[in-house]
Amino acid sequence: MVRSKQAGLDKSNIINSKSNNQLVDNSMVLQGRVVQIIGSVVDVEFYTETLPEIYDALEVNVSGTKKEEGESSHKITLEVEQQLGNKIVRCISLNPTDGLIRGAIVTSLGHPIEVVVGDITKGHVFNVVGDCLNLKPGEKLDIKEKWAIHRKSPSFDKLESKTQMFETGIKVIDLLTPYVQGGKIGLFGGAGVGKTVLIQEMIQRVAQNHGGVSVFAGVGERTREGNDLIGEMEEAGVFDKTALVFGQMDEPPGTRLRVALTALTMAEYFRDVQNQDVLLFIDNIFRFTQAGSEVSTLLGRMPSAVGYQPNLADEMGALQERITSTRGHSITSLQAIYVPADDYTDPAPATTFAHLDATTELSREIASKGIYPCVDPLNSTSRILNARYVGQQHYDVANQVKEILQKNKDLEDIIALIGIDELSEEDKITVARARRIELFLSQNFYMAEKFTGVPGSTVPISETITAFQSICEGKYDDYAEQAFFNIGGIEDLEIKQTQIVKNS
Amino acid sequence: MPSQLVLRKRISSTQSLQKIFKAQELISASRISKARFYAQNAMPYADAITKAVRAVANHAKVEHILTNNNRKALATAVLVIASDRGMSGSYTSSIIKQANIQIAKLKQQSKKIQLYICGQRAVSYYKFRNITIDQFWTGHSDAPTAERSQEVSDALVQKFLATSKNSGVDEVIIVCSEFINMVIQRPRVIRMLPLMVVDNGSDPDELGESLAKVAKITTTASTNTESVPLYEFEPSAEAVLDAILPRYVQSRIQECLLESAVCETASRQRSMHTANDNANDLLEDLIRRANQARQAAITNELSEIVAGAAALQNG
Repeated sequence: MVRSKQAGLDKSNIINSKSNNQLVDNSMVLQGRVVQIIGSVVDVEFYTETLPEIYDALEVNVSGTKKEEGESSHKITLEVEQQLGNKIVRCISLNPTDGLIRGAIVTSLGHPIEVVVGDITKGHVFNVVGDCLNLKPGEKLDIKEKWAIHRKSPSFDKLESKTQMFETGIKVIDLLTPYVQGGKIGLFGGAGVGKTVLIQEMIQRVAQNHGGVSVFAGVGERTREGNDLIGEMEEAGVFDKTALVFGQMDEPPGTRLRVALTALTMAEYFRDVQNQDVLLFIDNIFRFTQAGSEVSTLLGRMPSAVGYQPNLADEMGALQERITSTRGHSITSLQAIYVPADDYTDPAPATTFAHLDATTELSREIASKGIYPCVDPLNSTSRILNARYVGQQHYDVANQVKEILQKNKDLEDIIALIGIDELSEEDKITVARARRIELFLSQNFYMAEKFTGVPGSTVPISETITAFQSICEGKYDDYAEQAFFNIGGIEDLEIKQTQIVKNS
Repeated sequence: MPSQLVLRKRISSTQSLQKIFKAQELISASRISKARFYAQNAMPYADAITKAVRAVANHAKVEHILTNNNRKALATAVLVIASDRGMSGSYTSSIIKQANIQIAKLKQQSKKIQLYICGQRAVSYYKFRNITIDQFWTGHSDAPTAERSQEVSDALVQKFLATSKNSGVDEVIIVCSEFINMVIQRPRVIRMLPLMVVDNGSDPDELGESLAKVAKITTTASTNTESVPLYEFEPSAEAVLDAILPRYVQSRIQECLLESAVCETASRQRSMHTANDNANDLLEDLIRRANQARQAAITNELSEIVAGAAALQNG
């Protein structure tokens, strides 16, 4: 087993001075005992002056003798977060602390949590500490390499400087919030607007057309969704190109705080060692922040705005800066971001905003109109929605679409008050086009086939642009509004219109 | 959740809109009685002139060009009477809708259409669609004058007399609205020329099935019930008809304009009332949301202060 060097650790905070080299030496095993347990935060006192480093992993065995099922024993992994003095370190637990008792013997592993990396991870499901969860009876992982989950972000001179669009075949996304190859994409949305469905749709689409590997991190979402995802991936035949890491809602905050790093480490290996393009899906990055906030107070930090941890921006930055593309090899990441109470000024989504190349906002208003994907066309943006990157025509059409939709939004109040008849002739046409555009921004999804019975569609970006241009120019003003709903490209529109004409 | 600032802004703009709606409602409420008064006051004249025309037509069995129904209709003039201003709900659009139905029907019969319009809203509707308007009159649609109806009828009668051979028309149709009560007004289509003399009771000139029939000049109902005086025409029945028929046309157009004015005002009052109600609903919703946002901000701040103080105490 090759063990990588512990790169990326910030050791400046270590309170007591000690020799690092001694720790790596396996012959000298650091041991201590549990002195305090508050939920998932555990204080450990060591016998010697030498203490484990920040972010080192500790292990403690819990024997479940009191359980009715009989004698059993399981391992709890802790991660050192603070050194409190008096030979005491404060740790967060990555497993439930049920059964843990004061005085239990703790052993330091002498290194941070390490996870399996490499081709072996494909087609397997892991938990935060890198244990494989879907081994068939008798199957054993042939572990070649393990990496620590805390690593340094790539240095400035290694970053990718080229910008290229990442085509998804989803009209609204390609047109209004074009994704960046090797960029970070955020999917913002409140509860139940379809973030997870959109992520699954992207996995489906991308996996079909994308030769590289994908890594999926399930952070604090529903366990059922994880199961569904595995089933769907197997069906789509992309499961053996994907590594999945789960730390779902039922897991302690420490797990949810670190599971994204575990997945990211696997993705980094593919990028740095195997020189591949990787897709990293994180569902849901807000849970990462939430988990941080859950342990923050227990660790004794004073809460900051809205009760979040004081090091919110730092925690987010440390994660986000690692998700990046180095020369030639990219990690394209798609992150679902839950917005508490639909309030975008909440510190958690607000901190995440700054790191993203493209933000896709999913809005409840649009969802309530039955338009899916309910991407808010006016609030979603992308760094590359610029004539320099996507071309003049794309940029112009996107702006025109936004302009019409904005105008419609401005008129909404007037229409609500005195009716559409009062508008000027120009405004009436704008409103009619805006309605058609709004409906045309919906699309049939592969993932939604089981709900709607309509198979999904992929629309090439060039077709999307011409279609929206024609609508803006009024070429389809006389088509029925309903014909624009839940379809792919212009061809579908023509077919649906003929159907509607025939039926009426 | 939109910020308090955005909500406050929307509240104030909705409030000022609501003031406009309220004022418009009150204005139309005060004007409607006036408009109805004018419309009713025009009745005696219209009745008298109708009687006179009927008398002439009954006695002198003469064919007059304005009453000649046997002419083959190749071109039709459509007079659309709508409003000048908006804020009257679906008043104008329902008339335009009706007018478009009529125009489509006439076009199907391969008739040429000439468009005459009263009212700015209808004018801008057709202009925007690049439809040729032959002549239009704007202004005072809610209080039409006798001069206006004179102008309109002069133009139409002139066109009718010119006949389709000389870029005139063979038929004149009016699309206006009918006042049934304060709540119901509906668009109505009248065939104005060639004339069919009618009294108010029966309505043979409503378009539709009656258009196919060749109407008689005399109305049988009236000749039977009234004792008819004996007339002698000086200098001749034709000369009297020549003089009286254009006046009759003008009176009918005046009647349409006045009734349309009543409809417009009634429709405005009603739609402004609805708009006012809508504004109230919207305001209620916005104010609730603004209050909620304010309360949320306060709660948030409080909990932070309390948590901060508690943390300081513990530390």
